Amino acid sequence: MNISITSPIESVAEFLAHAEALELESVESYEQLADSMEVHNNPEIAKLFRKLAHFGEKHAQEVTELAKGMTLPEISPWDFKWSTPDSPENASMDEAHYLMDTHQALEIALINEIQGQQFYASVAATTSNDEVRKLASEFAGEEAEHVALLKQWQANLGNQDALPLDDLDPPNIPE
Amino acid sequence: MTGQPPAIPLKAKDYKSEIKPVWCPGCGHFAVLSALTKALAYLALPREQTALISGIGCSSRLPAYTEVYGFHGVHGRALAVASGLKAARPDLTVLVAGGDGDGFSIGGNHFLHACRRNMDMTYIVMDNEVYGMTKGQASPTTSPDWAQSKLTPHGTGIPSFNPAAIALASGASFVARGFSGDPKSMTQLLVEAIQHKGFSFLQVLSPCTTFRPEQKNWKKEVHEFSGETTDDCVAAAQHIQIDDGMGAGIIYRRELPVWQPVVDPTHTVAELTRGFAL
Amino acid sequence: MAAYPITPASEILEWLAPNLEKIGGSLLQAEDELASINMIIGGSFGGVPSLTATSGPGLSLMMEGLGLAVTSETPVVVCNVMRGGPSTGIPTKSEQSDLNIALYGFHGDAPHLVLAALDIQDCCFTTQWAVQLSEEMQTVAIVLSYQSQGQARAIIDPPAEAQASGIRSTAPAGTDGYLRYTLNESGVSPMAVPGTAGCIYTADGLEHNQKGTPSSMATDHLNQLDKRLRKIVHYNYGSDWAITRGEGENIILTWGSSSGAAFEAAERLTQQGHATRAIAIRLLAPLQRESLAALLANGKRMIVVEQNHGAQFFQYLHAQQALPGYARSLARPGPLPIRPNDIVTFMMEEF
Repeated sequence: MNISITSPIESVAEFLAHAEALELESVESYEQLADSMEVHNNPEIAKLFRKLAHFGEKHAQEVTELAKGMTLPEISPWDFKWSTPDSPENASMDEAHYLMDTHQALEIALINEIQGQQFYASVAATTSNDEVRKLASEFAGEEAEHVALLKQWQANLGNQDALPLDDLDPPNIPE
Repeated sequence: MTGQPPAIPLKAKDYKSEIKPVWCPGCGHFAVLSALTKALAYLALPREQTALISGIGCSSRLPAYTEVYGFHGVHGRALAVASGLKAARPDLTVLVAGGDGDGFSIGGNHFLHACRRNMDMTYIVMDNEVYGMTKGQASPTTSPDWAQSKLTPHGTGIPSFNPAAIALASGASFVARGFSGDPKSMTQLLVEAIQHKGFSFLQVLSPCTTFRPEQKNWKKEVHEFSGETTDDCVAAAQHIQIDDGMGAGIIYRRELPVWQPVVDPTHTVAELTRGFAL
Repeated sequence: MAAYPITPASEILEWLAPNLEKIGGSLLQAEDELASINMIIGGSFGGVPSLTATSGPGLSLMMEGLGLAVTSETPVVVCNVMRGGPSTGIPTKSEQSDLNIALYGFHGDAPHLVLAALDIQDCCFTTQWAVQLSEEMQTVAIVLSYQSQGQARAIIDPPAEAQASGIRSTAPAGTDGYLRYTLNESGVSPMAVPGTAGCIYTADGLEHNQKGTPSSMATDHLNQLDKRLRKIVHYNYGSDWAITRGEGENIILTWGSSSGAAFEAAERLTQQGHATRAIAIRLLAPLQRESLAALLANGKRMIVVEQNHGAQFFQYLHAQQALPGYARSLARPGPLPIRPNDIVTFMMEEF
């Protein structure tokens, strides 16, 4: 996991278009994960993913504020400049499992937030536009706060092993 | 691009319905739903002019999750419903979605003939090499030695079906393979498939987290398709055989005659009736 | 229209293919009957009245698709040109032995319409009526015809026109809070045709709620089952559901292609001094039980005539408690047609 960008982002509008897509997709994915956890009767983790969705929501609002009065470029879904095949904060959604516990959920979230941070840092490092650098650094800083917060949650959780979730009617009975 | 974008451009989200998917957390199909809605938004297709048809299976639940006209029919017959719809309503953009069991086993005959008929529609098969909805049996694309199903305790012992090869041999005019773990490329493939005039077949490798957890490794195994996109079916057939089945990209694309019933009314019913006069 | 070739239904297809085109329709030759039924479901979902023609084995293959049409409330009509069965049976000869599959071939509770053409001329009327009813009620109509009708040529008077409206209830664009399977008194809910903005829905063969979202809830299942039954039970079918000829205390009750022989037998019996009425049923399901009871009033002797081995019609009417205890069954399989003399002889044994 080491995210970069395929080419520098050189305008504020282009940066905000990337940030908006990244944050909205992050919100959408967390919401979707929360929904599917609810469908699969894992309410604890559903709640956690809803909380994580708020991270992105706040960020997306910031982006919308910043973009007021600007026309953001329409970027084709495959032309976003992150090096990952999906937007950076979506990268580990396929690691989810209906029986996952808080440890595992936080691990996914941590990877996502780190990738978000790396993306913004990478934008800041490669751009020649001062304002883009300033904004990207700020965003990277906020992602770093999320990372720190998640690490703290992990620490609080400690080694206390939550009872492993059990499915009395599992889909595959290993024999 | 088809048509003019509407006054307020629709976002991918506008093509999603409010219904929560029943898919397992971590299922590859979520990425297909997301990529499809992005492709529809990119193409600015009017929602009411688009129809998504499916059969039965996990992936066939897709229509209800999208905000376009949908038909969730019976197992294996999605292509038939779609062909009838397209014949009756050529003005609609017709998409078909389903899984490997629905499309290649119970619906295998329709797959052959839909390829051959080359009507203008896009068929997306989310291939996870397993029947998920019936809880984990081998499908036509399952490798012969997969022995995790109680139904086939020694594995199927039957070589797996090669969807791209069959599609090509049956006359499909667009054959591509995508991967749910690479939504960026998959979205582009979907756009190209929908834009193609004729029968577009897109196989999407989409892991089943519940019954095939080992498919998480597909992330490492999927690679760019071994051959260049070609309009030469002999070359495409060779590329498909050389590829290990995990190569993603457009394999074959060719402009071929698109079948659509001739509608050119020349008579009235009364005129036909008069033809019976003695 | 979509269809797969089968004896003795191919003549219908071969006439229609070039002629439908002339009036803006089309006939699509499908890869099999599973495809043809699902293709016409697709066409009908698209807002175009759709039908297919087949024979026994093809109807067997179509049954799952017909269940889908019932549940998704997609109007379709199947014309089943009956031949000797079961299995490949006697493809080139007539029999009235597909009544059971037409009535009972569905899994689950699947209310639908079954009609039978009385003779060659009546094929037009009955099929037209079936299409009208199916469109109005958004359900499946199976029309039973026979090899002897499907592969014969005859000089006929211009057939009568069926008089139902045949208008499918559709939803106008932008219907507020559109619910495809909304519950109402008639049971017929407006069907949005793709292309209609603001009424987007997904038709479903899974049990669903009013919106169309799959549901396994007891209330949704019961409500939707009731809805699909209500719309065909409460419909006013008028008087075309049966034809009566003659009068008298002796009754010949029949359906479909045995009607001609039954009418003639009634005439002969009446001429011989045994006043006899013949009743031929065109609408077999839903059975117009009360109207039938009225037609059967004041009978003294009664035979139920049909051309199959299992007395399928007789058993159906008994199951519906539509027959008096004195009714007797004259059921003979194909391939030879039932003759008026067979009926007269059988009735004379009753005296």
